[in-house]
Amino acid sequence: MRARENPFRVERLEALPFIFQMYDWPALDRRLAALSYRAAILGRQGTGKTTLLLELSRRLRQQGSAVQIITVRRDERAENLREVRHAYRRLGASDILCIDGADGLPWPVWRAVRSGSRRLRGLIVTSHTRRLLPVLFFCRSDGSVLEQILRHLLPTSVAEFSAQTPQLLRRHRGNIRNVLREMYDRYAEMNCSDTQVF
Amino acid sequence: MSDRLTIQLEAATNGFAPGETVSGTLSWNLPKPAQNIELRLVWYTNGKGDRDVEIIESAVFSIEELSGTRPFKFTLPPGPYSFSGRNISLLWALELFAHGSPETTQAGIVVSPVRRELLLYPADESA
Amino acid sequence: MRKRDPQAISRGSAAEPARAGIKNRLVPALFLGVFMIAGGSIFYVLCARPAFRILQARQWPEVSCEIISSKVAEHQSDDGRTYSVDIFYRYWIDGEEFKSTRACFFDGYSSGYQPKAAVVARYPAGTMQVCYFNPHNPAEAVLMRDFYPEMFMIGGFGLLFFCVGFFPILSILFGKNRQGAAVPERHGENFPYVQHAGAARVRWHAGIPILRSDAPPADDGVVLKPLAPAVVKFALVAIFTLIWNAAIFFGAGNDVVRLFQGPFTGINLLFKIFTAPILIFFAIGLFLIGVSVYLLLAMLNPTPVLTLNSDVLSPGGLLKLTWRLQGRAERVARLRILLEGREVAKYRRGTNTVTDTKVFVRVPLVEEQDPASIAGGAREAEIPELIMHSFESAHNKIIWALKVEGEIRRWPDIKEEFSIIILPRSGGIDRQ
Repeated sequence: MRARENPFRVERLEALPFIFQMYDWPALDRRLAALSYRAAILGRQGTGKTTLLLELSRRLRQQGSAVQIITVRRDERAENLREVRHAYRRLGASDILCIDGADGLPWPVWRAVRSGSRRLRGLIVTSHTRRLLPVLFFCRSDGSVLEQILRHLLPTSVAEFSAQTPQLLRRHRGNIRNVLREMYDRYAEMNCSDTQVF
Repeated sequence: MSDRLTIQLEAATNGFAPGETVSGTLSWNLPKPAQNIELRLVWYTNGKGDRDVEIIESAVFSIEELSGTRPFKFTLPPGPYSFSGRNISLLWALELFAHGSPETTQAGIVVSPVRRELLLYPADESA
Repeated sequence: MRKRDPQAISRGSAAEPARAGIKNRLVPALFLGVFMIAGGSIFYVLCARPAFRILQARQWPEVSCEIISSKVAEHQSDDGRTYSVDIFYRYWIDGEEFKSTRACFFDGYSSGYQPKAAVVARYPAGTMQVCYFNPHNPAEAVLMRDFYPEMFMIGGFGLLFFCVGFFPILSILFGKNRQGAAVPERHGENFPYVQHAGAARVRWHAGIPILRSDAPPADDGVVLKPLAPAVVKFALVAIFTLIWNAAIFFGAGNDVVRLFQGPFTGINLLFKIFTAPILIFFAIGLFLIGVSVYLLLAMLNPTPVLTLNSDVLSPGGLLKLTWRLQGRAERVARLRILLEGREVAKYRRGTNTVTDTKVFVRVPLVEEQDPASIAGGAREAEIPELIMHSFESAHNKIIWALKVEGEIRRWPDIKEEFSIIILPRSGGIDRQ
């Protein structure tokens, strides 16, 4: 199984659409407008917050807004600050700033971002648990979401994997991203050969 | 992928050795004028790890017409080779963009001493 | 942070710049230096120095002394009140009178009144006691020559801070890419204790290693030794083990003992249930002791020293390897040296980074059971014309390593690794 053929490779995972349960895009758009485009997407790790944010930003661009997305990495604090400053110099009143992982920003930086963003059209963030802004959507993972993801990735052989999903979800505590990583390995093993020894 | 932009390689195959020249013709047929089009020679990874992309060379063509063709030529570096393992695949491609437009197209090529993708696990050849 | 604009593969992406140069290292080194100095000072003043003096004083002869005054002294500071033992005594040596105020060698003030009062109660004014004097300098004397648990706890923390500063500073200031070569920042991070052969002679560009035009020739071969000797590994683990077990012993030692004392009924049982989780920490401490012992034994192993004809190899070239075991090579029952190729993929998992490694090829170069051959030998192997070269990008790598495995019966085995670089070949291979 070549890495580029594995259905769970990173390129396929990045292209996954966000899957709503009992909700839809028009409803999300209405709620976002009602919150004046200042809102947070909450959820535990691996429940699709980033996926939802990326898709939302694409939709906002299609609607004519200029959107900039910044991803916060906890091990790059100095760079985080530089990027925030740089973003504020570039963004204007019609722009929307999206911050993925805003709860990773130090509190003084977050306060400065929040107050400074009032001159922008909007601020949308993702966060694990901290309600930094009014909640736009709470991402949850369950077996049916994972099933639908598997149907996207494995249209012809989903049955082989769907039997394993409840156990995998339990083991990874609802972290779908980790489940998909494990499925990468399992799928590769199905076509595995041992390490070659000359 | 767009059919308004195309990349046509001169060589009969898309396999090349390091140091060889990749040449061909790019063509465009755009609905709206674009200031220029850009052709990039890139490699990128795919697989389990986060994706890495490297732009090796880039050629920008100023265009005034809505459609036309241009020749291109790139010299390939010594590496990295196109390869596939279990965790990582490395792929080469020519990417063509029209600036100011969402149009883009890609032509995959293979770069290795044998002009074929190297397999880290030879058993994958039969898979 | 990363700007995200996923339209096509290369649009909006930028390669991670390699961080290099002494300027970028001085700031973290200075910051860590604060830890090192502070930790080292605490360790020296409050642990090492008094411990050394206690050990010396245990050789001193004893003599009778008269306690002139004995009280708990009070000191006022911004942090509040602290107390110290204030005992004044005199003693005679060969008819000459000496006076001293030293009660012990651990002079730290603390806010605890009771321990000081207990010491003072043992040495009331007007009584005759025993003190110990320095035979080389009779004016120097002490009443108590005991070690105090506080010394080791505080000293342990100081040592920990010292290590937190010292070893990273060494790595930052004297690491392989000191010369500012464009070696990616994370080169070799999966091999923290491996010497990176070839790192000084190549530069990395767009994922591939390129031999530097100013690289010195490797005419005399390249000697590879383990970068972090076994003693360093042992020292780090042993220090951590010491601190961990000292904290458990002094912090919860009594609770652990009480768990096994008394009846297992009623309120006692309830207490035991609530304090039982302490045993987990205790078990971890025992495990760490086991690891320390293992590493201590491993320290006594012979050290493999490899010499290669070159640390930077080309496809179609020759790998000439000689090996030698420094130390008691006769204890090694079997020696294997392999060339191993690995793919290493790194990905983000939330705020963490996870690295996944897969070995795709193992080439046995040496497999010896004859004692003479184990102690030293030479081997040649041809690097195949068609081989995947070393590759490195921000999240994905192809790494080649020489692994040395020495089997020692009823003892930790020898396990060392040395990474090597295989260059890409230029040009094609025409095959039928």
